[in-house]
Amino acid sequence: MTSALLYSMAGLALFAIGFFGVVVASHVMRKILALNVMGVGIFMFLIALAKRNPLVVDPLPHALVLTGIVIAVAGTALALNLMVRIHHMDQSSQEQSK
Amino acid sequence: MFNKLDIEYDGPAVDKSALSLIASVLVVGLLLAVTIKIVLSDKGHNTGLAPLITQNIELSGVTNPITAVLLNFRAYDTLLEIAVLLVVVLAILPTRDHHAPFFKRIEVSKQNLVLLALQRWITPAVVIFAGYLLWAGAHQPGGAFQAGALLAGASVLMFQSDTYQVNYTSFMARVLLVLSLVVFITIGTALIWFEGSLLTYPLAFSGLLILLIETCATVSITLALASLYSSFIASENISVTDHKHRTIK
Amino acid sequence: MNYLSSSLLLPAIVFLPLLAAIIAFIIGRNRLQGLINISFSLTQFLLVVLTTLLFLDEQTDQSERYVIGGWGAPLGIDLIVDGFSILMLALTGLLTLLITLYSASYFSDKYNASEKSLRFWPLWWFLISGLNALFMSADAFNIYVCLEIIGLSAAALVALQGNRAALQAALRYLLVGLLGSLFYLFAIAILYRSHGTLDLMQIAETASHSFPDKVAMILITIGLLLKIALFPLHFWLPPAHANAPTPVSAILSALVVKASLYILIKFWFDVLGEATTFGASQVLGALGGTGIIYGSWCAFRATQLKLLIAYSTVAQLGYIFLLFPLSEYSMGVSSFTGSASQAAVYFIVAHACAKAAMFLAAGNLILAQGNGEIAKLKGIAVREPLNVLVFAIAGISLIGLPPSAGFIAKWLLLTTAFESGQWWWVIVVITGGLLGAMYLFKVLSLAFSTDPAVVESPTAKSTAPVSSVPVSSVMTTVALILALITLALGLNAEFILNISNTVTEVNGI
Repeated sequence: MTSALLYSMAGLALFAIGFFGVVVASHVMRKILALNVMGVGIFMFLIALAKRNPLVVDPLPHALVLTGIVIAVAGTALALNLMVRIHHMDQSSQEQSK
Repeated sequence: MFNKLDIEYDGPAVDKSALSLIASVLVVGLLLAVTIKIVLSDKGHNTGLAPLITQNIELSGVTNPITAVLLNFRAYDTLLEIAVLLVVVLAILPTRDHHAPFFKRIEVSKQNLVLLALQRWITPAVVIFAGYLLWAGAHQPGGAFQAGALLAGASVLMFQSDTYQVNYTSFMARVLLVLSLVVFITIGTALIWFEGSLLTYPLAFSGLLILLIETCATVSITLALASLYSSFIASENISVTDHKHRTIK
Repeated sequence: MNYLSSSLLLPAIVFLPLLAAIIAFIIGRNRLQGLINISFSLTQFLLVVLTTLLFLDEQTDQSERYVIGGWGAPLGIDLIVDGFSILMLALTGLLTLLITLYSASYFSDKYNASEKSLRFWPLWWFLISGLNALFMSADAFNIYVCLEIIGLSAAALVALQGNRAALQAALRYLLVGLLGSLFYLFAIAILYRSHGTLDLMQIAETASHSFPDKVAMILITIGLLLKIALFPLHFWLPPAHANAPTPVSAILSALVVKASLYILIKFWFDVLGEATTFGASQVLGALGGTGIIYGSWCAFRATQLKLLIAYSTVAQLGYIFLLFPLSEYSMGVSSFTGSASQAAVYFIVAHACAKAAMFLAAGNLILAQGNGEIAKLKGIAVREPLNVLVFAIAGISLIGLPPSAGFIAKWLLLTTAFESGQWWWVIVVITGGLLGAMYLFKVLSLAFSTDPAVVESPTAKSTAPVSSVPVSSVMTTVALILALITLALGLNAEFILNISNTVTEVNGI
């Protein structure tokens, strides 16, 4: 069992755990975090993939991961922003009703 | 499974509907089994594109293979990725305050000493290190995104106190936000004229052009990430009564 | 200077909207804003038309590859178009032009929406450039980046409306979209692992019936079905499409779901055709069929006009999924050829035009009426005859009555179903048509019903509710043009089939 194999399995496990969280968690924050866990799982799988051959390191998956991280950051930021806006809207309407 | 979206904290943590629970456990189990089978059984393509990248690295203008992939071989992806970041900034930026100045320094009477010291000591070091990362990207791990993320981290530190304020909707900020995309597109299309194809760097200038694009990208990414952070802070400040969430300040 | 070929224009089609987005962002609110955006959309339309003509003139299955950076696949990223993608590009160009015209009025000061326009225009152009980039990409990972541009900008556009329902719909749409893209990304990782390349055509060359390819195909299908909103994964679509601003609803229903569908068709028939099975395609067909019935039923029960149209999109997407079982019958070889694919292509075009027209007309009716309740539409035909006419024409096309594009699409679908001996799809298609007629005539009969109060005072504005605003003539005209295009496509079917015929000639992989 090589370390690359171990890492790719861990990546798969993270993906599965994340998916479970996305479906089962009901709070948006948890869903967003779970999506990020899923993403990290894929990134880990990709990085393990770069070292399948112990003698050669494939730089392409590394580059894909860097691109993927930036996109994940962007998606997370938008989701958090929407969540915070809904939260404030609820709060101000609650205050008005008081 | 997405029908219930809680925003408040006092809701139950788990979507209790049995259907989504069973379905997700099944899917997760299946997914794990199937993919682990792939990982174990299939040898796959053994080296990927590694030999090809090593062959062409001489022609890319940089010696770090990851930077070569990001900014030369697959530069088009990076260009679109910067666009993704910009999309989110656009979606989040407030639509007010167009005429306030870009940068403002306010004298605050009550200063937090620890914060002040951190700002004075750490920020310059971070800026220098970001510059080094940007430069080092050509031959070892580093580059625009790492440098931009570091600088954005420094800006988070700077804007903890209200001493420094940046107006992200001012004209200057907007120009800096789109700077990297503009430079990227301009260089890319100008090269159609000179070299006959989009984003085809001439060998002699490729290192220089990549550094130029990366520098602009660092500026834009810093500002983009900082504006994303400040948008959360700004919306926190809107509701003054909301003490539960004001853990940052 | 070498001769002009269609592939040389491809980067311009991506970069022009990007440039428009940057300019819209820099200038902010400006009196010339509308004019600048309209001229950009016009330029883009002309560029797309030129590309299409050049492509047709070349008489090839596929354009030459546009090699970005001079590296070529698998090291670099290539751009390429075939008959199907050029059709999607042309459709995008046309709808962009028309909906931009519409939006220039919709987001003007007249409707107190200039604040929103500040955010709308850059996001709009990013969305268009993402769509264009997607349709010409030949690289699996590049498609992922394009999907994210589309997904994020579409969610941000839905949130533009700013009320709680819109924000929640946008959040749900965004989360589902991100989940779908993650599945796609995972599949790409598996494909890269077993093929050592990200180029679609090189993957296709080495694709086989092997286990990893099958898993990748399953993951891609799940991920993209989430984004396409096929029943039972449709739950996010109706609120998102119903709560968005009108032009956004139109583009979401007409093109954004089709973008994911395009990728799915490409993978299913071109790239990983070897890995698909008859059973899987029957499952997709069954889901599509259920979607037709369920979507139509929900549309019938909807009380909001835009929600009705959104559910109708769920139903119409079901029809396109009948493509998957129907194209299987020819010798068990699945490739995107033959009359089933023609029917699907025609359906995509017909639905895009009709649904865009319908959403724009509905937006006009809602503006005139003051709210989106279907029950309040009683007698509106007297006040807004043109918009009701547009709604009716688009409805005719969606039901599939002659003479309209929808009729031809359904005709092609039915004949294919008979030819292939899969008669059970015929029942589904006909039931769907009847249900479609039910929910659309429900709206139309209300609109034409003679309300005594309205008939007695034919002067339009005196009876209009206080909250309503007169609909600008540009907005009505744009909707009317789209409806007329729907009719014209029904009378002149060869035009679309000619373009998609180049698809038919692509034989296998």
